[in-house]
Parts: sequence; C-alpha cells; structure tokens
Amino acid sequence: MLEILLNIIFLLTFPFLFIGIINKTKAFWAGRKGASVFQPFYDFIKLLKKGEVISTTTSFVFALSPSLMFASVIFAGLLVPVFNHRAILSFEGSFILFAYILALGKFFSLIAAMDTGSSFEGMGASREASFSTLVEPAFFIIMASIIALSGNYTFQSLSLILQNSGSFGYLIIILSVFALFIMMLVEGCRVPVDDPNTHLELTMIHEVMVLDNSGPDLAFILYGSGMKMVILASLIANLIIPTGLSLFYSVIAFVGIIFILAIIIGTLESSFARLRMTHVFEFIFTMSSISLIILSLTMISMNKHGG
Amino acid sequence: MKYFYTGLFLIFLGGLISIAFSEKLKAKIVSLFSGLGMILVLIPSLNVLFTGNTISKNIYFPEPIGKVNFVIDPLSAFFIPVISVMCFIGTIYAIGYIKPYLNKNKLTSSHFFFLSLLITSMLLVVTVQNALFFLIVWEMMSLSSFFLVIFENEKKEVISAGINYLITMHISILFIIAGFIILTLKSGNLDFALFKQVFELNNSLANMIFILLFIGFGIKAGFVPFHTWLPKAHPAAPSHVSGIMSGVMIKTGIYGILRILSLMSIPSVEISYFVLIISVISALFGVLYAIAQHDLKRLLAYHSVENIGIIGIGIGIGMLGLAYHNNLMTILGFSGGILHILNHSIFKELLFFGAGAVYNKTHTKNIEKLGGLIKTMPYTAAFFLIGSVAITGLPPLNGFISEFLIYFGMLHNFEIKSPVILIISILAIASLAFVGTMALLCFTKAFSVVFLGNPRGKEAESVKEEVSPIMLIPMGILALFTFLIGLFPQYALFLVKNPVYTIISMKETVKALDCHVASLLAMTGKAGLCFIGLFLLIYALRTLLLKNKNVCNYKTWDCGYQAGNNRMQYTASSYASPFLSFLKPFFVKEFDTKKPKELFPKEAHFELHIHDIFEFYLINPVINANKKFLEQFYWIQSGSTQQYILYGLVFLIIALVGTIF
Amino acid sequence: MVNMLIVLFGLTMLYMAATSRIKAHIKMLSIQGLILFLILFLDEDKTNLINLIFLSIETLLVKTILIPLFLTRILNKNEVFRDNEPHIPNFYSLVIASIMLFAGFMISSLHGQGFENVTALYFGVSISTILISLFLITTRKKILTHVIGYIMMENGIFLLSLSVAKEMPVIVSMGVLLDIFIAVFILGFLINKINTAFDELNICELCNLKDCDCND
Repeated sequence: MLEILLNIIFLLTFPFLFIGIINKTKAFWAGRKGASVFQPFYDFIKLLKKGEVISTTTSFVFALSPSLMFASVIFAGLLVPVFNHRAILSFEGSFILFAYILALGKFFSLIAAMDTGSSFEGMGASREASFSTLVEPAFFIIMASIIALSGNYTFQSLSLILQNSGSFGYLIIILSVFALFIMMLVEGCRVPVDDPNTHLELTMIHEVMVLDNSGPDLAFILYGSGMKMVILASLIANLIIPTGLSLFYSVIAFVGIIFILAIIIGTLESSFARLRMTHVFEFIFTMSSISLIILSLTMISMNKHGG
Repeated sequence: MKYFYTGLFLIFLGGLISIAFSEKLKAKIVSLFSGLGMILVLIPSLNVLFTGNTISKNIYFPEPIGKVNFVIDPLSAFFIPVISVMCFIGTIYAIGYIKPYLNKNKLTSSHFFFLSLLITSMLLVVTVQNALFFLIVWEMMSLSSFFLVIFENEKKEVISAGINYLITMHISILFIIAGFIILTLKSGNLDFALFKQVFELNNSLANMIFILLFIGFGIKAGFVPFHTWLPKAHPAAPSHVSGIMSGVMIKTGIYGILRILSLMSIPSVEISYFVLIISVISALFGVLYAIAQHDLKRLLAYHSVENIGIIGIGIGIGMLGLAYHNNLMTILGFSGGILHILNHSIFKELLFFGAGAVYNKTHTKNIEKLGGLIKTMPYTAAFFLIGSVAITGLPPLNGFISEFLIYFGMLHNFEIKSPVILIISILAIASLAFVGTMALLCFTKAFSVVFLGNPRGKEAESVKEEVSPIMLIPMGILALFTFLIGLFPQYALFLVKNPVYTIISMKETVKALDCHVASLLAMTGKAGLCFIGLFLLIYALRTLLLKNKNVCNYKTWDCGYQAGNNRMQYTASSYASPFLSFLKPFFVKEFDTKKPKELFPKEAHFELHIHDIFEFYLINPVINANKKFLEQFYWIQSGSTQQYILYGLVFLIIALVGTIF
Repeated sequence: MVNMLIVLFGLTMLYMAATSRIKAHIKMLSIQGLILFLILFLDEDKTNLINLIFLSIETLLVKTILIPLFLTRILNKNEVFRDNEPHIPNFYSLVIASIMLFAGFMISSLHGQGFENVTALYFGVSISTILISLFLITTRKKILTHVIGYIMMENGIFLLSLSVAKEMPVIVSMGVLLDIFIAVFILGFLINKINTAFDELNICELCNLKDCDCND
C-alpha cells in the first residue's frame, strides 16, 4: 500500500524535477546560475491559470488531443515498475500495452499537429512519425530478448536477467541501458535528436508540433513529455537496481539513478550539437543495431545454458 | 438447417425480386431481404458457434456431383455471422451510396441481382463440403463479384481492373482444382471429411497439396506475391462493393486455408515456416506500399494486404504450435488470427464506407486535393478516425486485442528451447511492431490530409453538407462494434473458441488453458475502460480550468507571412517522404517530368508513379513475353469469313484423311 | 569483462560503417588496438612470457600508436579529410553492417557446437569484422579508407587468433604484422607519387590505367 502511494507521488512530482535538473546542469556547464530546479512546476501552474488561443482552422480533434496524450502517458506510468520492481498495474505481456498506449498518445499528437493546417506542424509531425518507426521495433526486440532470458512475461523480467544468464547478463544489461537511453533521447526530444531550445521552426521537431497550443493544453503537453522521460528513466533504473533491497534503499537508489540520468542528459545537451537530419536517422538506427546484438547475445546465452 | 436454407433462399429472392421494382426501391428491397435472411441464417450458426455441435444435412444432386454435404461446424459458424452481418450493413450503405448514380439514370438491376448472388454464394462456400460443388459455388462468387466491380463501366480503367481481377481469380481456381484433383484421386471421393485420410498417410504429398491449395486460396486472400489484383479491383469498384469485398470476400480465401488445416492433423514444421514467412512479407510489403499511395481507396486496399498478412502470422504461429506440440501457443496464434478476421472486416468496412462518403461528396479519390472536410462532414470524420485508430491496432479498440493475442503467442514461442525458433519469433515480433508503426504513419497521413487543415483544392471546398444519415448509420454501427470488442474482449473469445477447437482437434488438453487467456483479455478490457475514464477525467479538468478564462479564436501561426494560401500546407507526399527516403530500394519509381525551360517558363509538370515492385518485376515480364509470343499468331484472326470457312474445310479434309490411318 | 570488450569491438565496426570522416576512422583503429591489448592481458594464461611481450608490443605500440600516427601524418600532408559520397549512402551501410554483425553471431552460434576451442562470441565478432571491412573497401572511394579497411580486417584475423584457446600461434601474429607493415609503407611511399601524378586520391581515376578504352 505504501509502495503504491510512493509510486503515485513519484509519478506526479518527478517530471518537473527531471526537467529542472536538466536545465540546471545546462546552466552549470554554460557558467550561468540558471533557473531554480522547481521552475518547470511554477511554469506549469502559470500555464494552468491562463486562457487559450484556438486556431480557427482546427476542430474537435485539436481540443481533445492534449488531454488524450496526457491520459495515455499517465496510464503508461501506471504500468511501469518503480520502487522495488513493482508496478501499480502489472500482468503478463504488459509491455505490449505500454508501447501501444504510448503510440495512441503519439497518434493523437500527430493529428492535432496536422489539424492546424500549418506547414510547420506538418513538418514536425512527419519527422516525429518517421523517428518512431525506427524506435518501436528495437524496443520490442529488446523486451522480447529480456523476456526470453528471464522467463517472466511481465516487466519484472527486467530485474531477473542476472539469474538466468551468467556472464552475459551484465553485458546485456549494459547494452539495454544504452539502447533505452537512446530511446529516452528520442521520445523526450533531446539533443542529438531534437534541440528543445531552438527558435528556428525549420529545425524543430517536437517543439513545432505544439506551436499552436496554449494555456492548460500546453501545460498538459509539457507535463506529459516530462513524464514520458521519467517513465523511460525508471525502466533504465529497473535494469540497474538489483532485487532484494529493502524499500528504503530501493527508493534512494532509484531516485539517485534518475538524478544521474538527468545530469547526463544535461551534459550531453551542453556538449553536443543536434545532428544533421540524415545523421539523426543513423543515430536512431544504432538503437536497432544494439537490439540485434542483444538478440544474438540472448541466443548465445540460451544455447549455453538451456540448449 | 431449415432456417439456413430459408435464409439463403430469402437473400437470393431479394435480388431476384428487385429486378421487378423501380430504381429507387431496388436497394431497399435487397437490404430488407438480406436483413431477414441474415436473422434466419444467424439462428443455427450462433447456436453451433456457442455450443460446439455440428449440424449437417446431405442433399443428393445428379451425377457427377453426387452427394453434397452441407455442414455447419464451428469454423463455418464463425464465418456465417461475419458474412451475413457485414453484407447486410453493406446493403444498407448501398441505399445511400447509389443515389447519385440513380440521378444520372444508371441502370442498377443487374448490380443488385449480383450483389445478392454474391452474398448467397459466399454463405454457400463456407458450408459446402463436397469438392466439386465447392468449386461451382466458388466460381459463382468470383463471377458475381466481377460484375459488381465493373459497375462504373463507362470508365476504361474500371474495365481493365475488372478483367485483371477475373483472370487472376481463374488462375487461383486452377490451383484449387489441382489440389482437389490430387485429393480426390487419392481418397476416391469428393467429400471433404474423407480427405483427412490422405493427409495422414503421406507427409510430403500432404505438404505439396497444402502448398497448391495455399497458393490458390492465397491469391484470393491477397498474400504477396499474389496480391496484384487487390489494389486495382478495390478502387475500381463502388464503395459498398469494396467494403464487402475487402471485409468479407477475401476472408473466404482464409476460410479455405483454415478448412484444409482442420483436415490436416499436424502440419509439418517447414509448411508452418512457409506460411509465417509469406505472411510477414505480406504484412510489411502491404503497409509499405500503402504509405506511398495518394488514392484513398488504393491505400485502403494495400492495408487489406497488410492485415491479411497479420491474420496469416497468427495462423502461422498456430501451425508452429501444432508442429511443436505447444498448446498455449497454438490457441493464442489461431485465436488471434481468427479474431483478426472479424476485427478486420469491421474496421475495413468502416474505412471503405468513410472513403465512399468522401468520394460521394467530392468526386475525387486523390487525397492531395482534399482537406478540411471535418468541418463540413464531422460525423464521417469521427467514424473514419475511429476506424483509423482501430486499424493501427491501438487500445482501447478491437485491433489491439487480436494483435495482442498474436504477440502473446509469439512470446510463448520461447518455451520451445530452440535457437532457430527464438530468432524467428523475435524477428517476427519486431516485424509486427514495425508494421504497427508504419500503419500509424500511414493513417495519420490519410486522416489528417483528407479531413484536417484547410481544403487544398476546389473539390474539397465545394462540399457543403454531410452525407445522408442512411450512409452514416452503418458506419456508426461498425464503430460501436469496434468499441464493444475492444472494451469487452473476453466475450469475443467465446466467439473464437470453438472454431479454434475444430482446427486443433485436441480439445481436452487445451480447454484448461482457456481461462488463462480469458483472464488476460479481461485485464486488457478493464485497462481500456480505465483509460477512457482517465481521459474523460482529464478533459473535464481542462474544461473546468477554462471556464472563466479568456478563450479567443485566431488564425494559425504563420510566422507573420501575409500571403499564405491553402496549398502551402503539408501534403501527403511530403508527410511520407522522410520515411520513404530510407526505403528507396523497395520502390520502382517512374518520373514524368517536363522541366521549366528559358527565363519565363510557360509550363512545366511533374508526375511520379510508383509501381508495385512485384508487379513490375514478376508479373509484367511474364505478360509481355506472353504477348510477344502470341503476337506471332495474329494473322489467324483476319476478319474475313471466307478464311474461316477455309479453316473449316482444311480441318474436314485432315479429319477424313486421318481416318484412313 | 572480456565479453564486454569484444562487443565494444563490434560496436566500433558499426561506427566505422556509419561515418565518412577519416579522422574518426583512424581514432577507431587506435581504440581497436587498445581493446585487443586489453583482451590479451585479461586472457594471459595462454602464452609464455616472450610471446606475451612480443604480442603486447605489437598491439600496444604498432596498432594503437604507430600506425594511426603514420596515417594521420599522411592525412595532414595530403589534406584529405573526408571521404566522398560512397556508393551506398551511410544509412544503408549502417543497416547492412548491423545485419552482417547479426549474421556473424548467428552463424557462429549455430555451427559453434563443434568448435571446442573457440567461444561463439569471439568467432562471431571476428567473422563479422572481416565481412564488414571487406564491405567497406567495396563501397568507399578513397585509397586511404581502403587501407584503413584492410588494417581493420587484419585486426579481425588477430582477434580470431586470440580466441583459439590453447596456443597462440606466433606465426599468425608475425604474418599479420608483416602484412600491415607492407601495406602501410607502400601506402606511404605511393601516396606521394599518386598525389603528384593525379590531383586527388579518388580511385575512380585509377580506371584510366586500363589498356583498352573504357566507356565510363
């Protein structure tokens, strides 16, 4: 019971902290003092209090999508294991529901972008759609290999890899962390896939899709994208943290890993530039290559141990 | 069984009677009679479906057909409701769709006669168990659908598409005849039930028969590389016919494959891999080409190829489960495949009806000229949106349920500890995921370019009002079905259970695993309901927050550019181009350009045709070689009657001389 | 630990396939030398001392430091920094390289039961390295990239020889070293000559050395 409560508090509060830490790290590398770590939360409240400007070209789809996208991200958060490797809602094959609910949110954000009838949003929508075609198969390969290795069909399998695979287990964990990190960069629209600070519409991908949103809708969208990053970060944390820790240590380790991931993303954003558009596709494809390597390692390991 | 025959007769009668009535009433008569027939036909089939018993009756026809066994076993009992209900909904839609053609004084009596003939023959195909009578009814089905396709026969491309369809159907029937000939020779009888022994005897012979019949039924179903008729015939046909063909008729090909599987007790491993690989290729290829299309109905036709591939993946997984004796995998694979048959017919008909409504109002199928239709046709747009979300396989609608079952079946592959199975099933999972995301790209493109934004051409601007309610009601019913199956999937499992048992024939051992699958689906359904509740909550929160705030309407942000027009919006080809750019080798492009020359160019134009790669490299060369060969013999048909009589004289002389030897 | 290094070796191959900057290629060469040195050290129970010193000199000194230094000098002298647009665009060569890596693993594990001495992982990565470097030689256009690809292939063969558990065949390592020296020296001496004869280092120009008339 306590775990479920902590889980919900984590899911609702951490997105702001995550984005705040990223911005603070970027400010640190740039030699500035930077905004406070809680600034995204203040922005959220400010946006909630505002009214909206709605474009005349749009229809009911535009009004519905931010709420639907936000609902899909919250629902995906319910499926992901957080503290002590327990999720609020967990059943066999839940990773399929997880991936497809996120895809539902993406579907509606894409149509909302096209709804405005502006070529800026259309450009962002088409790029976002083609990125996701490269990411999903890789995610499924990784999850399916992990499930094959650990024999458990829920998200618990993330923590059970080491039991069945011996020496390859560490290698597979490291590679999966790397691949899921790339997925986090793509879904959260960070450098080197997309620069959240650019003000040139031609170079934006996710930012330009929400160009015409304002007020509570924009608040939901920002909160939702932060939550998406936190959810993917908790998948990574689940891979790293071993089982069998008490609740207290597990919470500390979890929160610590999420902070470290935020700092790493901030450092990456300060050190790299966004890649050229054709090179972005190659970068995302590395995730698929790594997933193929994970698949082959799974096969070798199962050959050795299971036969 | 009596009910079944009466229902069948009623449907056929409807078509026959409609010839006598005036143009306005024809469609209504046909749909009334098919509705009555549907109710009568549903009574025995639902009974068989839920209890698992089999009804059969023999009728003796004159030789050489002999004794014909009309059997409703659970497999047929699954298809009968699908066929009758979907066709009935199609006839209701036809009432509204046919009105503009009536205003142009087109004669429709033959069209409606063939429509009811098609429904009758499809119902007969799934119940007949005599090889020769099956072929007769199959041919009847192909011929009636051909006449339905060439409804708009004043257009040349419609006729060429129709003839392409007719010839392909006859090639398919050749393969089916070949398979049946071998079976009949080996078993000595025309009855399906006696074919079982042939399959049990000889393994390699069974494989060959299966491949022949698979190719024959696969041409009908639309597996790659036999799919080339689909993207031609479906756009050429009027929308209610495309909906019925795509939603129901191609499933009779799948029915044929399933019927053969129910006769084979355990398929061999190689055959299962063959089915799985062809299905994966069909799914990937279908959705890839769908992304490149700009004709709305051609896009939907390629999506039918993709979904037939998904059904085939489910069947392939089930066959692998049978070959490796893994019970859970078999149930999941076959349930997923068979449930997807029902789901696909629901949302494909919904989408074709939506496309038909758009065509009805705008008279163009080119999506690059449309846009902004959601303001003038909100209901059509909403139903099309529900159909798009369903076909992409997103929760909480029904597409997700069948894809979930298939994924889960592939996950259970891992219990078979073989590295080859591991690699193949994980790659199949990845391909299914890839297909899903490509479908997402394709349908966001289709929906947003057709309905959202601003009108891109005058065809779209000229739409003033929504289509008539008689066309909206069928779409609404189908949309309701998608929600029902998506939110309460454990009941859908009841529909699928008994047909799966006919194929597996190992009832007792697999029954226990049923609860496991049912509880899993119940969880998915509850998750869907929970999600919808969450969404409504957040939307209510948003409305609450905006209550007293300033909400104003303004035009879209255009970066301060004063002279924007609607053609500056993102087009369909630009939406798809980042994705298509890294799959260039799979398309054969034909550019038709006239570049602008000189300082003040007068005209220039650019056209891009994308050819279907299988058609371009496999089928066209064969056709061209055939044509070249036959061109040598053109001199035989000279047109002069005297030459023909000369031929007759020469033949007579040869025959007389021949008798001497 | 050794497994991690081997997979890292495979990942460097993928990076090489995706990029066309020659400086990055040379950096990858030195990283590969370093990885081979570390693998040598962690698996050290296989050899005697003299062998070990010789091999460690070979990997650490020659592969990691000398050859990349030499190549960088040639690079700067001829002011060649980037490869021209290859025959197959970078995205496709990345895809094909990943498929080759995967295929290498599959082949090695499916047939690997017979080989007692070779672990599947070593075998898979070495075979794929050889395949990928041959693929890179076929699709890239500058001579410098060809030589780098050749050296990568020798790295792959070296890795394979490292993996044969019982003995470390010194003859193989010496042969590899000889090959590399010859390649690099010929490259070094000829690059200057080629550069003065033709203006750029594109191999398309070499077609003109044919006796008969070429159409292209």
